[in-house]
Amino acid sequence: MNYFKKFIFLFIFLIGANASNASTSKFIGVIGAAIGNIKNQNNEKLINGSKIFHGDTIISETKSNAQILFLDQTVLTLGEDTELTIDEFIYDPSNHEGSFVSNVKSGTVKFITGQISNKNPDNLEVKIPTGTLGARGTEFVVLSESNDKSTVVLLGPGPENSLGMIPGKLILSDGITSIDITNPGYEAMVTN
Amino acid sequence: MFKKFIYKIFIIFILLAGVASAQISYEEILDNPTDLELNLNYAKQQESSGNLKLTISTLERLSMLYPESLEIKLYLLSILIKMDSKVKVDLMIRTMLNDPNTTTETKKLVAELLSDTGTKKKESKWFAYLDMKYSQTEEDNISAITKTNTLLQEGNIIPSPVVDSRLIVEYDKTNTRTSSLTIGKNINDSSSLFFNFGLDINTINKKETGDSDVASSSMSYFKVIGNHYISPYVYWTKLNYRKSADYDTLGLGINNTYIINEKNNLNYGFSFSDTAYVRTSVFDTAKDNDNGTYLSFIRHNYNLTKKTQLGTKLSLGRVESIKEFDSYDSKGINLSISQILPFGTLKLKSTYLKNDYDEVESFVSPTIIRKDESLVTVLSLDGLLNKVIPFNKFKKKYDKENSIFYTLNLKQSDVSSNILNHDIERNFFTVGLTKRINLSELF
Repeated sequence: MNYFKKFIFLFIFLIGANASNASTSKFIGVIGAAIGNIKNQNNEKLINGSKIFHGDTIISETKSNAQILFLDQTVLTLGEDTELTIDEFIYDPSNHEGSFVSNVKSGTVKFITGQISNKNPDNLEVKIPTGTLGARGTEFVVLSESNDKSTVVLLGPGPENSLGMIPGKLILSDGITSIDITNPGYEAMVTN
Repeated sequence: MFKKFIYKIFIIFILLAGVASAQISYEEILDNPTDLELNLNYAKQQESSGNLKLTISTLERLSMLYPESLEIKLYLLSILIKMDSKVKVDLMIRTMLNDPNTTTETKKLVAELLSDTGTKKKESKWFAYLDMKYSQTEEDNISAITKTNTLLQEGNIIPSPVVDSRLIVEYDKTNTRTSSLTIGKNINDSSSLFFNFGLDINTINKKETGDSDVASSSMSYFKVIGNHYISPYVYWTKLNYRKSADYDTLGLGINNTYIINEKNNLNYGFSFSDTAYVRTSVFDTAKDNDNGTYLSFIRHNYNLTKKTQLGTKLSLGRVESIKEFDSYDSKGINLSISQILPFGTLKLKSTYLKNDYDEVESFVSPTIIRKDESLVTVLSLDGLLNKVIPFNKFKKKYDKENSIFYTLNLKQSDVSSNILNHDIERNFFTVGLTKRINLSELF
């Protein structure tokens, strides 16, 4: 009986038809929306579609904001008067393994976590002047008002969301103690 | 003819898979982050495939780039409400109400969206729905005529008898009307209880002995513990043949799905069922068919992409029948691939099964113990009717709630047996429509 041969041939064929090619590139993200004056560490103006590279600092001026799309589908939205540095971005699209470390030096940044955090929440780290932050399946905002005070607000999803999303969770640490935030709208402040 | 049809369907499947992979990719969005039409379509595609984080981030970007578009804001607001994040909804509403572009009509729409959510919050955690289905199955060998058109009887090969044209028919149609009521209760965030009651009425055009009613009920419990999704269940089925012996089946089992990571999960389970036939003056030997079935399986699912899933399943079974020659051990492997397309989900499943029987059936052959090998291939397409009907008027008039589902199913069963009587090939084609009626408001 040649059923096995037919069967294996068919599946190899179908899998082959669906296989997708991984693409590689040196940039790590793009500016999805730039409103007002957005620039990088070299004082170059960033516009819609500008590429972001490892180690870049993105600065938004007064009455300006921007959204950055990263290769792993993490999305950062910068409010006005904000400075953010990408300290580390390593991402393998074939297995979604990677590491993402960003540093919110000042201002307001909203995070929607992507594949790196989905794969391993410990691999997304947000440095703030007064501590560090980890996130799980989450949307959150970081406000760094000064070197002495930072506030983190969990935006969602909530535990009763009807979208099948994993409820969000933030783990905030000042280097000595850490706290978990699980309710959207709840915030925590870290001071020096 | 039928085989050619199946091969054509395979070709269509390959082409459709190609179309699906040509859907908007994240890379295209990185190249065109400001294109309104492209990004709006991308947001909708991500919503339909359940990737709400990308829907939200895309709509937020469009809202920044096109601040005058209230449609984008309303779309975003509808997603945020479902996200159960009061802080985001409040922020969005404040932004919209302060926006000079917001008209009175839009403000009313926002109020409606919010009142819908409020109602849902007050709803009981009980829910219910009624599925009403009509399907028609065409079969090319309903009397199970063997491939060689011969039978084995007491060790001798004889031609298939043609006793009565109503008993020996090849091509036939089965019409099935199904009503199925499901009632569920969300006990808490991690567990639910489901009850299902169903009635199928099957009528067959020519082979009247196959006409039947099937009454069924089941109860299942669903619990999430860490990465385990556990579901024990019990069920009862009563099959009432109009011209054959009736039987009842009582079964119980447990399934567990273990999520290994985003790409991989394992599904495994065990079940037992007991089938008891009903003895009547007409069917006085019916009890000889009583049997018990033990089944175990393990299945690995691999998400090749967000829209393509591959599955491999191994199964082991044992049927214990009163008639020793009907008792057998069964081993099987099933391979499957499913592809989410814009208009439904296409699945291809192939199951190879090997059955080894315990004893000879002396009436058929005094020396040969039955051994069967079978390959069953199923190609199916299921989805929302609205996704395949291009006429908006129809959608708005007949199915504005997106509650009518279609199913198309092609099945080929090819059994090779060392006993000629079971050496049979059959092909089936099923078309069905299901209307789902939400009854949750009754609770």
